[in-house]
Amino acid sequence: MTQRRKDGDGCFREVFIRYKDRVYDFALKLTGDTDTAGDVTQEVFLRIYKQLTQGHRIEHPRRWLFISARNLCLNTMRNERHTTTLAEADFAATADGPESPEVMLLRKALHQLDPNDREVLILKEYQGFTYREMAAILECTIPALRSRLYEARKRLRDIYSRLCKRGANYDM
Amino acid sequence: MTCDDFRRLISAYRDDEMEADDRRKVIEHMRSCDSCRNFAEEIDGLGDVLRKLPPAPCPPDIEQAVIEKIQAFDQHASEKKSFWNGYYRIPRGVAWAAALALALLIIEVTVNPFEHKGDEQSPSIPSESTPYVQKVVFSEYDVVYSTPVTDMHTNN
Repeated sequence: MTQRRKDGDGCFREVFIRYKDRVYDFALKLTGDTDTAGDVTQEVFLRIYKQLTQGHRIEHPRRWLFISARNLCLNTMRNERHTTTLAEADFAATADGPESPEVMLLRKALHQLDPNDREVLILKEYQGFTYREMAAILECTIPALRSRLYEARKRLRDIYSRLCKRGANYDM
Repeated sequence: MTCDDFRRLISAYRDDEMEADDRRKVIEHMRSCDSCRNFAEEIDGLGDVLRKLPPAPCPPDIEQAVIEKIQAFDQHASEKKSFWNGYYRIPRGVAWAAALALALLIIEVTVNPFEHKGDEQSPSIPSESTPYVQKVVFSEYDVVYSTPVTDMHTNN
């Protein structure tokens, strides 16, 4: 094994251990499908492995992984006309135990959002990216991103309020 | 600025992604506008609940699949390499001999330095006894003059 390959291999191990859960979680929350999330995770890490062992330098591995994951998720959703199935998403998330009603409602609201809205919220709220990093991942300007986040939050709030009202009506 | 403009800023204010000047404006506006203050509280609440959604860890079978894919990639890469290594295993003496033979062959075909000059068809010098016939053909319509050398001698 050449030195370049050894270095790339070592780098990959570190990246894989640190980000595998976050990439999978991002893909699952974005697509709502465990199979797609699994496929995307495999493909993303295989790609970064090839890059690293071929001697390519990756300045921001986290950003690189999320750009790849996001593109693969969007392509899959576009090609397969993928629609988020709430049952699968719920199953994936409730594996650890029962959720509070407000979390369940918010999960439903999140999955009723357009994927473009959903991705900005996931990147911001779950992954904790800065606006600069998000703009790089989503390939947009910071003012455009600010606007997208505002619109996404407003739509999520509207859907959530509607679901809460419907839930309250069912309870009565 | 309208309330809608302020709400765009409130979203960024909440993320702590704002210039100090805009921050001051937002804080001042929220002091006087109940509707925008409510909006800020609502998106704060939604953000808090969103962060409560449990993260989904990468399942072990996906981890294993990644490792297997990488091993397959490595194996494929090493197979490609060993294909070339097969050629490197030829003994050095044989390789040099083959290279020399190839070089000689190329020289023979292109430059041909060993070619024997005598093989070329040089004009033969007629001997005294050989009857010599001169033939000059210009074209198919021209007359062909042919005169035996012996005749020429006799005419003189």
